[in-house]
Amino acid sequence: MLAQFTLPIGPFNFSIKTDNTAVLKNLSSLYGDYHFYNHSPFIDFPITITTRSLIRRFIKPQVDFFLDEFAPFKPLPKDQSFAMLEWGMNWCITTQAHQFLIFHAGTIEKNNKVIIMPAEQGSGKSTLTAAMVYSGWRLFSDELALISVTDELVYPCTRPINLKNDSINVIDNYVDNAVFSTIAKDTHKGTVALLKPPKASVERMFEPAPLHFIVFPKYVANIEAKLTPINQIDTFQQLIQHSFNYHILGEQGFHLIARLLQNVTCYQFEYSDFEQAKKLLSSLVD
Amino acid sequence: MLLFLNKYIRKNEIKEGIALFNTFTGNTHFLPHPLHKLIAFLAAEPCSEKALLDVFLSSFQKSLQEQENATKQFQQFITEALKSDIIIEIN
Amino acid sequence: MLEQNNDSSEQNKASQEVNASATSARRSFLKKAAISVPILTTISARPVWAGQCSLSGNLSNNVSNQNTQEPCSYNIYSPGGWLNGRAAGSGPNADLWPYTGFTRSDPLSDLLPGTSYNDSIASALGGGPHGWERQLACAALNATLWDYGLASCDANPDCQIIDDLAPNFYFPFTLTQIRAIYTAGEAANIYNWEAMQNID
Repeated sequence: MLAQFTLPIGPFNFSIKTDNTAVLKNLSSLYGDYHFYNHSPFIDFPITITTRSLIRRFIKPQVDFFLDEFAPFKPLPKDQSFAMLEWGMNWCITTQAHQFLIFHAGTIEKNNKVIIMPAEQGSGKSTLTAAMVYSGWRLFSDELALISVTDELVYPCTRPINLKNDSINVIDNYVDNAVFSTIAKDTHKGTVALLKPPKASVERMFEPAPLHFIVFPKYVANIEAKLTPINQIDTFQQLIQHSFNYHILGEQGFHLIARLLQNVTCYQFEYSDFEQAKKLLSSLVD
Repeated sequence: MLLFLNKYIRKNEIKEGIALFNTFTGNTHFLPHPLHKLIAFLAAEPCSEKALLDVFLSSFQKSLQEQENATKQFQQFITEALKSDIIIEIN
Repeated sequence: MLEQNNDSSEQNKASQEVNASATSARRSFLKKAAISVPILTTISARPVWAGQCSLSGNLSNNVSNQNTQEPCSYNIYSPGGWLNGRAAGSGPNADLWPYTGFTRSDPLSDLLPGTSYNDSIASALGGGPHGWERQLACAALNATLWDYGLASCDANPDCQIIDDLAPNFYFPFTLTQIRAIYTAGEAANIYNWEAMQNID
């Protein structure tokens, strides 16, 4: 028996159908501040997460992810079902939502000024994003920066923050009353848990804001936090490398990045301590 | 033989030079100052390599060393830009 | 049986000679190509259907599904991997050095022209107070694998390097780009090389 929810997240409407109790439990806990629809709006992404039938229900049980009736991924162990939902939602956006130029970046906002933090997997950007948004910044996303090709504003896509391995404990110690999903072990990323987003961020997830800063973060142990300006050629190249769909948007993406660079300031950011990081990034927007 | 900017190239000036996008190949190229000036000339009309070099050298100091360095830079630019389909040779 | 063994050993020798000759020719090409730092920087277009975070997924003849869960992250062989680990042919792994066009004993200046580090590639990959050389020598070797794969395998998806590389190897940089990053210097660096170097 499939339960169904219709969930607005920023500019998208997701429909989620599932028979999986872990998904239901985590949806209830991590999306508790969201306003689920009780009518039927237009659905951007109809998703189903189902437990495999017959023998695989009982022997090494697995779950499948479907977008409409298409299964883009191999099945995963049942205990990774909620992580699979989140990864799948990212995949839906990055492969379909080409009304935005999309970067792999932590995205935060304060005083109507957005900072995007493009970085690779394992760089610590989600951990830094988590620390910032539980210190007064608004969460747009820990993974995706969505820049509209129409109005060039950054749009929030506020969802739970994806943390891995040691960063789970780091944030658990840093944030009072942090709410986490069930922990998934032995994923291709290691141990993964999702952190509930701040309520204030969820309540403002339909409010876009202009981009002011592009900051490339790098955790370096025992270093004094510092911002180093970087030139536009390097920034442009880095943005292309961190973009999901620059190669799809083509000329439109090219001109959009060039226009953005006219009005934003770009830095390389090295840090080892959250308090120093917060102080330095706040100095940009205050 | 004249040189001309490939019709598929789109350009955007940025602080340290110029960004170029080839709408046919999807490749993006970056050219730093002061070579970006050559793109504007090549976009306007076909130029011979000599005429283009003369224009380029006119923006440098007259010292022999500067002129030699600038000429090497220019030649390297022509080679790379032809190879990357940014400029084309026409009769 | 003896004749077969002789034939086999002759073939091996011929194969080694071909490999050595190919390596030598490739090195000459790379050395010549390294005379000056490029003026133009190019980011090549990624195929629209490149849904896979691998070399094979980025070949133009790949028509596989978009079976990725998330963006590609860079995964490359570490300095240790090159010295005596998977890239060096430890255990069941193929030795990847022949694909690079370089050997361990070549001077680092062959791989990274303009360096003031006055020792071999192997020495640069080892420990010591030359972290920038270590990271970029490693990155450069990995870039040669990607270059080689794209150049050799586009028309031939059965080419050997696809089988020899770790399945999660992903590093769409050219050697030219790595050399430019090296020349720009550590102060201008924005890449987290250590995070990428996770294939030992």
